[in-house]
Amino acid sequence: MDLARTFIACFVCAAALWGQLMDTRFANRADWLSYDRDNTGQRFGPLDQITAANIRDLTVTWAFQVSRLPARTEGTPLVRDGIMYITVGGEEAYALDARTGRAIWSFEYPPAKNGNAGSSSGGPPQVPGRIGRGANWNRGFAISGNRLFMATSDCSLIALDSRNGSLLWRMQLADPGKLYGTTAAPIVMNNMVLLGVRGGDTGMVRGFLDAYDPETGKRLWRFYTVPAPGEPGAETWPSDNKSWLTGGAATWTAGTYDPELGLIYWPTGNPGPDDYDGANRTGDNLYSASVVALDARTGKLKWHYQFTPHDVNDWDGNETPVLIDAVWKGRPRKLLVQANRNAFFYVLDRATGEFLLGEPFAQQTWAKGILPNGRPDRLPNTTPTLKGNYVCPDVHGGTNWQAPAWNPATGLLYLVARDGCGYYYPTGFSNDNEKTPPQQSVRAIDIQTGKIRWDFPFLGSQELVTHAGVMTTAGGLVFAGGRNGQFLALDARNGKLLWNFNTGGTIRASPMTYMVDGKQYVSIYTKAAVFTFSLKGADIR
Amino acid sequence: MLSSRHARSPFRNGKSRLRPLAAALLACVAASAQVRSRAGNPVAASPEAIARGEKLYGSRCAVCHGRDGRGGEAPSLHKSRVVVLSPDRRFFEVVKSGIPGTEMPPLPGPDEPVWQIVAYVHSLAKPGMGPPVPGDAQAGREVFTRAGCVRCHIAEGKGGVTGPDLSSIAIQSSTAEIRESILDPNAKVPPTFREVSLRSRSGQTVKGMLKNDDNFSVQMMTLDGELRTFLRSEITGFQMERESLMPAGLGKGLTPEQLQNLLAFLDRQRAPFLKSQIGFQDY
Repeated sequence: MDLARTFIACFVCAAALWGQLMDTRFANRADWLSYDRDNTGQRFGPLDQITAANIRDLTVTWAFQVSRLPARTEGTPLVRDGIMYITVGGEEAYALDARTGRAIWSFEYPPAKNGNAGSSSGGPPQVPGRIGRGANWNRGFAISGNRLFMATSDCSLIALDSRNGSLLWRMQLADPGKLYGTTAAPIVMNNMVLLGVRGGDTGMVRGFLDAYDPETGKRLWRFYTVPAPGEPGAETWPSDNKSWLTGGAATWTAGTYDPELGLIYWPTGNPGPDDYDGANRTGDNLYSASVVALDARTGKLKWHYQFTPHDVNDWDGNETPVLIDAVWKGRPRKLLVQANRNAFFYVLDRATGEFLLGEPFAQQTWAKGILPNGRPDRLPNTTPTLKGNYVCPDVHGGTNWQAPAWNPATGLLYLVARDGCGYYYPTGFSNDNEKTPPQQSVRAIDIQTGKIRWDFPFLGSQELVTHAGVMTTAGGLVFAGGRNGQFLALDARNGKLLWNFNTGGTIRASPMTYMVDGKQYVSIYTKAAVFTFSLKGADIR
Repeated sequence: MLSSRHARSPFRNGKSRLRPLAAALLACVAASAQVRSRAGNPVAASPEAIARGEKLYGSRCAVCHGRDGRGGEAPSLHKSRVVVLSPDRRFFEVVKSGIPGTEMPPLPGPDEPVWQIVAYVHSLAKPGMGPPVPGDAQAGREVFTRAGCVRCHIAEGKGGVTGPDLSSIAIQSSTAEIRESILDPNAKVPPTFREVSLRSRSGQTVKGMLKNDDNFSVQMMTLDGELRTFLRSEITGFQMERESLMPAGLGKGLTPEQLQNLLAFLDRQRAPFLKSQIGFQDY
């Protein structure tokens, strides 16, 4: 009875507050205009044509194979008005007919000129003297008006004209020669383009989040995720060295935005230098492994919450901060939830940062729990040692950056979770998969309690880590992928397997859905192709 | 039948596509490791440089290549052509620039840390690089045949297929690992040689080695070497066994001399072309 009441309350509350939480530019149900579809991070597709009742008729409508294989394929396609936009690594892009997969234009980032310093001043479209390439993986576009925004392999943000792929402007965020990089999909919020950086594992970068003018590429503000001496939070770093200058806390995934509160929420990565040896960076190392709430106009910090103080396990904290309006303990509340790589699921009040709930959702042995003040109650002998300390989760975490999804009708947060353990040393980590074989699964968490509602385990060897995300729909479905290339659909209520398709290539991306001419499609980016599915009949064009 | 460790490194996690060319070059070099010049590394292989390299390796490389360089998400460095065969400068360039079209990213920035990583990786012990294993290899070939190893394993182009192919075992595993596998085959069983027992809907029980499986289908090799496939819907029972199919008492039945001769014979198995194995997962 209580469960049913909670279910109804969640649904009603979410429906009532939907307009306040979601930016109006995402109102068209047919489109998918941002990495997680909208600014909430819910990755909820409000289309209901494909359901459990008809999904047996879901079939491949088209596939688009990229010409050159990027290092990894992690992107989510965007669709607007029947046109799909995809990136290929951080160096190529296409516009496709979303009904047929036929290419409309392609874009190739001009090749690097070795040894020359790149311009960081925006610069003309020719991109003169671009610095050598970096990590060639990328999570896709952002879109605003006729402009597409893309992170590149040389740590730049570029704007393309969505009509022909022309390069309009380029801004270099940081010097890739100093191990900065960009791999995230940029996010458009509050008429700004936001993009963070990667490199926290290198022990050489100081993380930041940038906001740019979408028209000109002018930088509007920068928030450093590691405070300088004298700034609030600097007391969590040693005063007798300059570890803060390479303090990590990279911002390599996408954040979320509450237009009513005017706050941007961005997750941060592990501290540095030395991921697993915190000896030279004593203290909590703010704002690493945290979520920071920033004033959208100024980029100033409003509040922060740190998931893993003084992270020595490379657990980061870069999972999506999902924004949900729901009834919490009897009253409507603006929530931020995150299933963290450290294997705990968190619920915060996103207006204030108040800690509300912290429950494990995957195998963990490092903390007794989360204390009422929000700090983890870390167990003794769980930090890295020379002989190796065996701790759960392993470095791959209870989950990772792959997208979770939340469905307002079920009140459940879906994610790909991982139960696994490993040895941690001051110099790194190792796994013993034969001692404790890891297990990965699609998992549903009740956000009201943090309890697991259902679990769909992937069968077969789980030694290779799955970084495929999930997406849920108004049709009552959860779409998910696996490292082995299987793309599948589950019943959002109970996790029952309803449908699958073997794409034949590693899936490291997260699904999306869109509609053209009244027909719903579902797409997933695999290692070398985008596969798009619809109910039978949609492929006759 | 030999088991587990012999094939552990190259085939672990399905990295079975140990490139034939790389293996060929590796085999050539394994016997004459001095071909590779280490003179190019400006960072002396001092304990300090190696320690720093180990730290950098731990944070930058271990996530894919494994903490001990034995591979994981990415191939084993112990068998890498670039690591084992090439001059240091070439290894440096690969770490620095990455490998286009693969998941190996570049490591831009100062050169010194890259050289430290190179020094550390070269400090790791690698199979096939030591002096020849003492013993009578000819007599070891006899042991290989008479003890029954050949019924399940291929060496010198002859043998069965139900155990790991040993044609290149000397450059895949250390002698200590080979010895352990002979004496204790259950110590570690490679993924594609785990015994599985299936019961089909027709009531038939099929035993063999699991080659691949997921939520929808199972691929296996029966004990007589036949490849069989099943949809999950065709299976009513699925039992994984913990123990290796290789008889545990086989190695212990050998005299110390026979064992040493067998190890000497296996140390000669450095075939340049590795037999293709069925991958456990796509990569």
